[in-house]
Amino acid sequence: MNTRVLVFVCLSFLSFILAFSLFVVSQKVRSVEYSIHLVDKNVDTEKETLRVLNAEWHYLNRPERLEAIAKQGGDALKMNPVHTDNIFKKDLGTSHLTPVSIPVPAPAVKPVFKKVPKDTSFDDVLERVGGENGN
Amino acid sequence: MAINARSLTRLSVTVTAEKGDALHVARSRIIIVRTVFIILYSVVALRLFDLMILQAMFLQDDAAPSTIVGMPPSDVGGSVAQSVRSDIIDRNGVLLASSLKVSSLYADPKYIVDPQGTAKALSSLFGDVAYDVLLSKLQKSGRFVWLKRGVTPSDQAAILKIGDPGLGFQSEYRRVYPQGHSLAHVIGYNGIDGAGLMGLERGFNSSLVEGAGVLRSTIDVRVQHALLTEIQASMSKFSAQGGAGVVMDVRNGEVLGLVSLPDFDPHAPMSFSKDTQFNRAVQGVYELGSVFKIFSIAAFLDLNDGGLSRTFDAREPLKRGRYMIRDFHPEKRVLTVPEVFMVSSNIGTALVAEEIGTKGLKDFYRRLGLLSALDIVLPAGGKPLIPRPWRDINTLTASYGHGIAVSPLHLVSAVSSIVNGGLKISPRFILADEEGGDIVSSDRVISEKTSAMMRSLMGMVVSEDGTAKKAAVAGMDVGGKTGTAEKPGKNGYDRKRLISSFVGVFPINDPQYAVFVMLDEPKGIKESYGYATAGWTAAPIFSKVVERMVSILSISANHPHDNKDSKKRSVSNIRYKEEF
Repeated sequence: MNTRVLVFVCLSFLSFILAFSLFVVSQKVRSVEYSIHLVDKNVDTEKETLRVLNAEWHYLNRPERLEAIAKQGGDALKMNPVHTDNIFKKDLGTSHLTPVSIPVPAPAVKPVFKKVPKDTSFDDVLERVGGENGN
Repeated sequence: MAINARSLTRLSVTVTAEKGDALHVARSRIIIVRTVFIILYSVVALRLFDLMILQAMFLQDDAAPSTIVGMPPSDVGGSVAQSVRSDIIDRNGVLLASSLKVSSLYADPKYIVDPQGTAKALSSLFGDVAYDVLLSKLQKSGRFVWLKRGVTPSDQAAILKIGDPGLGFQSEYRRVYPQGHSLAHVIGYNGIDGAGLMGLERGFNSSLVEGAGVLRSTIDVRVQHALLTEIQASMSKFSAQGGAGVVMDVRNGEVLGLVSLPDFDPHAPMSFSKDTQFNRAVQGVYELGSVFKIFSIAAFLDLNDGGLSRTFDAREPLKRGRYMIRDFHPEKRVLTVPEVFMVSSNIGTALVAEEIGTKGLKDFYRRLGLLSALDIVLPAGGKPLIPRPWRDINTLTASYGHGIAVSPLHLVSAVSSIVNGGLKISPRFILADEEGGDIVSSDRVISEKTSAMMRSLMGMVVSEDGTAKKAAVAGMDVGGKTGTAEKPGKNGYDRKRLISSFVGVFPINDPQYAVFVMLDEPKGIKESYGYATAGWTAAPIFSKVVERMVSILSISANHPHDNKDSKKRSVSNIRYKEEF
């Protein structure tokens, strides 16, 4: 009889422990789910905030408003409308395309090279200009 | 039976043993019952702890008012009534339409404590809702009645201070249009329940509702603004009744700007007259006059090799049956085809049309899409009005844009097809996913050679000797055609009520954009010597719009000196018959 009672008590205790563990796990799951819910909610809130800010940004930057501001402070800021005249040269005929010979002055010193070197590696350059590796 | 002492002792022991067993069993049972009860009570206690402490804590956190900027402070029994409708943006990502969360006020009349006081407080808060209307709503027998949709956060705070338990808020999404009236006719607007009622909002209602992603339109808000302000300024200058304009990419039909004036605020469309919601650029069909000469001359040149060298007698008005065709500025001489186009001779164009024939001209107009409704995403596109039956005299008048009415969008699409090398263009309002690929059509309407000739002829119109020298832009080679048409009245055409329009293309050597502008009933002013014709009213708008577009879109001038064929395409003389 004692043994049966003992077994029963032990089983009861075990089931209690299991039930408690299950409860703790369920609470943890619930807590994590709640955290996820909060994060989702915050994400939604932030998205909504972004939507509002985005709408405000585009409302404030509409060309109509910017043009009015530019007109208001245009003189002070030296902002004037760009005309095609400011961008493109007017038709100058073909005179501006005539090649012009520009006199090239004689060099003040004798050139180092008599002809253009084929190899331009650093060692060769040093050698030709009489550097450390040269004579 | 005698009971001896031994047997009595045995009985006593037996009774004692049985008594001890019974006690033991009872004790064990008590322990079991106690354990069961302990477990049950523990479960109940834990559950109570869970419900009263843990979950209450979570719920309290959940109900905490948001402190995020732009959010309603709290929703009293509110829930989101609608899903988020997709945004609409322009070709550069500028927001054109978006859905934002707002709170709407409702009442449960059963729980309204003081209907009179609440109605008074609310009517003083909302200037646009009368006390009587609010009171009748608050005294209704039902359990739900809307009081005001889309309440501002400050109003919401004020309503919460009234403190009537019968008032509540429900969160819902409302459409906002950051560009305001500027794109009202293209984007359209939504009804209070979120359904698209006009423009792209209506055309793409199902995909926007499904949240299929952001809708990227072909519109460029900068170009739209330039077009709108210039047309608006000219409307005011010439006291015009209305105006319309379209900017189209001639290579693929993308519409960068579309204006119809007067317009309306898409946030409150019902507070404007119904006339403002009429889209003159898409729904309106007009006899556009001489701009149609682009098509009749193109048809003639495409059918006749060496057509440019042909001459037509414009010395006398043309009499056909009981009709007389006259020129607005009679040259009274024999004109070459380039001259017919440049001086906009009705007589010359009618004679050209006679050569093309009724079938030829009708077929050509049909190929350009001028005889049928456009296949576009904007609902309620205008259907052209064409002569029924189409007689030979109609061919003559239709050649210079009379007796046939089309929408501005029809016209600019057809002109794009003429100047882009001859490939048929259909207007597009939604940007294609794929980049590049300029020409999206392979349907040829005229040859490349005819297209090049037409570009040159259109360039001549803007030259010093043309009818649209005011359309010229410094530093940019442009081309185009004016059109001045009298509006039909009760007793035939009314000379004082004009539709003045101009369609132009730039850069003319390698066209990228076509711009159409139109003024409805402009009045002559001192500066225009009393004229209200297109050369004085519409052509300058084109010039100003192009000037602004050049800097906005960084368009290369494509100057003649940059092009080897520039001499052939030069518009400074009219020696085309030798060149082509």
